[in-house]
Amino acid sequence: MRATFLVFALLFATAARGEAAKLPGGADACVDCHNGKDAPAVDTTAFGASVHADKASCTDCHSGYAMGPHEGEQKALAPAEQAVVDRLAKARWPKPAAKPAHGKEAPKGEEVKVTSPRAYLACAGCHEMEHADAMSAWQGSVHSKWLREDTKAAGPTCASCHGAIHSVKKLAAYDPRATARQKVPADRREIAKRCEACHGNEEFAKAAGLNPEAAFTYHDSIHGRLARVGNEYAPVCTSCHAAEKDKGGTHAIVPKTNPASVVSAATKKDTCGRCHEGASDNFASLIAHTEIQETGGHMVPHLVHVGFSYLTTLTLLFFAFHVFVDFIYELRQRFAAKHHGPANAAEQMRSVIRFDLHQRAQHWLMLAGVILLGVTGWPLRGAGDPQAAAYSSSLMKVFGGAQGAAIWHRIGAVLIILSAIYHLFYLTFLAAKKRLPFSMLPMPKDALDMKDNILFMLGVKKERPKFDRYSYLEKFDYMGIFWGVILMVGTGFIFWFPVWFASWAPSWLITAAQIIHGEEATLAILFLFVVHFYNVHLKPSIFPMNWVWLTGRITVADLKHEHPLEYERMKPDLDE
Amino acid sequence: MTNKKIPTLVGSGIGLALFLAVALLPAMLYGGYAGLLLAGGIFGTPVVPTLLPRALIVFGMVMGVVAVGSLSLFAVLGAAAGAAVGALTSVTIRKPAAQESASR
Ligand code: HEC
Ligand code: HEC
Ligand code: HEC
Ligand code: HEC
Ligand code: HEC
Ligand code: HEC
Ligand code: HEC
Repeated sequence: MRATFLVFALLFATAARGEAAKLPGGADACVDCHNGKDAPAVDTTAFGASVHADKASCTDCHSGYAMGPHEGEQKALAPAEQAVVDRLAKARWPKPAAKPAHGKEAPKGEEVKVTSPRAYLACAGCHEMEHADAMSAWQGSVHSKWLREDTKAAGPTCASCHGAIHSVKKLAAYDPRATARQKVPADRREIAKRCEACHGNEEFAKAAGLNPEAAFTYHDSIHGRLARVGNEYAPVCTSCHAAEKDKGGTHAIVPKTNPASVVSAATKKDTCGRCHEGASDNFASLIAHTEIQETGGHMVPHLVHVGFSYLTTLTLLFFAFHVFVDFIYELRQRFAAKHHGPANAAEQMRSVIRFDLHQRAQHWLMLAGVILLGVTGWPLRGAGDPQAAAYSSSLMKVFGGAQGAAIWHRIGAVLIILSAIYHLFYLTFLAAKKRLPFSMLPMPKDALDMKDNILFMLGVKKERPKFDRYSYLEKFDYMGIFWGVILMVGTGFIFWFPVWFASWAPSWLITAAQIIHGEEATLAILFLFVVHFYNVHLKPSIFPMNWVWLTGRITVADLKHEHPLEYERMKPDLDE
Repeated sequence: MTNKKIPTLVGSGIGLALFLAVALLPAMLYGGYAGLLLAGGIFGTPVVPTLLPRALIVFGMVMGVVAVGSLSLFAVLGAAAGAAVGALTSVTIRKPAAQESASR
């Protein structure tokens, strides 16, 4: 009891003392009046906690201010300074979104302005000494241009990036190196939101003659998605746009056409090299604030993107239709209660092996790998949508966060690679024994089967076509996986080792690979979990599942019903 | 046969309920976003919300819901769990008089 009391007493005591002790001398006179009633309020608590609390008095910045109202208190300024103050006083910016602005969804209408323009004249006086690099860089930067000459729009003040001056905090040290990647400090994430208040605001950016898509394309990029789902190393704006510290850091931002820019054509690769060891010009050209399919201006990525959009849409539409027709057929069948015809007890008890242990093992590896890849990859793909990204980071926490999910994703990749190698060995082995079946190859009959089967399910045809060992649906599953694995593994490796691939492959190839990896994944996952899962799990006559993947066996009744041609071939053996 | 299906159905019911509680919204968001990307590829970006792109986005949502949750992962995992529980609790283990015969 006494201990608790003491703790509380101490807590309050330090809080109270902290506030009182931190306000600079002479502040009381100002604050008495600046209480929010007689004059605009000053947040003394925030000021007390700010970096300036014991370093600068009110009048160090608000030079000449006395007992207020302050009209006529300050001395006249030199013409150059007066010009700066006039520009500051005139400036208007869009009000930053309460929620982090993303892409085109920044708010409209509301504006902010500078409340005390003269105060900005004071900053350099103190900071020129200790932060000489930063302050001289600021003088020559694109962001201070508007204070020197007329421009299309007002650029930033110190507060635009550092936040309210009265509560400015010291920034964390941040200097990422490829050999020692560094977590992005929280304050740089805060600052990135402030960059977006301008660069992510479409109207503002257009008025200023800037790329209005800068923030949107960043969030859509692999980096933006990684940052959104919680990758602690993924770059924010300043990771790529700040110059080296001794060259002025973020204060040194200049147009990308200026050779001194860290994202100029010549220097870009060194900036990527901060995190990607050995980055080449070719590698650096993979990121340029454009939609990925337009990056680099080559037509292949564009065509791949358009082609995949059609392929995915048409495939899914067709199979959704197929599933739907099948479902209706199954329901009708159920009501008509003529399930499987007259049940033959013996045939339902008897079973034959459909998949041997090797085949089942290949399927288990594939299944584990694909599900793992899906649950760790889909959240990253979906993170282009800001709302979905919130769910993505929760989902990724299950895997130990975004970096953990990246490791699990690679484990999933290894599983499907193992499955594919196993399968190829298995096929080679069968071929060597001259037992390689070609039952999986698509044949003209499959196209006819498909047409007839759909007509049958629609009730147009009286009879279901007779399938052999593999129906057209099973062949499609198999062939889809075959080409899917080749595409996903191939492009996945490019994602895994992008710097090495960029050292010899053209950038359009790498960009195309990145597109394929995301878009083929969408097709594969949706196909597997809608169409394949319907056929082997959800079909009312099969639910909860077709057990063959576990037992390897199929009942003779099912064989007869689903693979009549194979059944007829096997019949002599079965009758023995 | 029927007493084997009951735990399965209960399992998938629980899976579905779980899905509705935690995964419906993200599934719709992910699916809708996939639809939006497809629409972007087919009709060009920025996607103008006319009938076809909208339909594609809704189609994406439906696919997302079916795939991520309602039917597949949640319902099937629930069903599998239910089946497992059913198998464990059932006393009689019927052994099919299986007669092996390799097939290819
Ligand atoms: C008698 C009350 C009073 C006192 C004391 C006072 N002020 Fe003010 N101050 C005002 C009023 C009223 C305004 C708003 C009207 C205006 O802009 O002149 C204001 C506005 C300001 C502004 C914003 C507008 C501008 O022109 O920059 C600053 C900054 C400011 N005061 C600083 C100070 C400082 C620093 C002190 C202490 C040295 C101080 N004030 C003392 C009444 C006071
Ligand atoms: C490090 C410099 C600095 C110090 C120290 C400082 N201010 Fe300020 N103050 C500013 C700047 C810069 C602005 C204008 C911010 C803007 O709107 O962009 C400002 C704005 C103000 C305003 C206008 C606020 C409004 O809402 O209209 C008042 C009043 C003010 N300061 C009072 C004070 C008082 C009182 C103190 C001492 C406790 C103080 N300032 C200390 C830099 C400083
Ligand atoms: C009276 C001198 C003085 C004035 C005037 C002044 N500052 Fe400072 N400022 C300091 C000192 C001292 C520090 C602390 C530096 C340190 O701890 O390394 C500081 C720290 C800062 C920091 C944190 C830097 C870091 O290391 O992360 C920022 C940002 C800052 N000031 C901005 C401003 C701005 C903006 C103005 C003008 C509105 C201003 N300062 C005016 C003295 C001043
Ligand atoms: C991965 C590094 C990286 C990140 C992170 C990044 N940029 Fe860039 N940015 C670049 C590169 C590289 C260029 C030069 C593009 C080119 O070559 O055309 C650039 C160019 C720009 C330009 C110039 C206009 C243009 O589009 O060419 C603006 C404005 C810009 N970036 C703003 C931002 C903002 C705001 C953020 C944060 C939301 C950000 N950048 C994040 C690398 C990055
Ligand atoms: C475009 C955004 C931006 C603007 C505008 C800006 N800063 Fe900074 N400033 C930063 C960032 C980010 C850092 C952290 C170091 C880095 O990345 O360069 C920083 C660092 C600093 C530092 C510490 C420098 C060091 O070497 O440790 C000071 C002091 C500072 N700023 C003062 C100011 C002042 C004064 C102004 C207005 C004249 C200003 N800043 C305008 C973004 C900005
Ligand atoms: C107050 C609005 C504002 C804020 C905040 C702001 N900028 Fe800017 N930025 C501008 C304007 C305006 C220009 C163009 C200036 C000109 O050309 O006249 C610009 C130019 C740039 C350029 C050069 C574009 C080119 O042509 O190559 C880059 C890069 C950039 N900003 C990055 C950033 C980053 C990174 C941040 C955050 C640390 C940031 N900006 C914060 C308004 C802002
Ligand atoms: C601040 C660090 C940082 C900077 C700077 C940076 N990146 Fe990255 N980048 C990452 C991280 C983290 C990943 C996630 C994968 C990883 O850990 O390598 C990544 C991933 C990538 C990927 C996807 C392939 C992969 O490895 O997953 C590409 C492509 C890429 N970056 C290109 C660039 C380019 C081009 C630049 C320069 C314009 C750049 N990056 C600058 C941190 C950075």
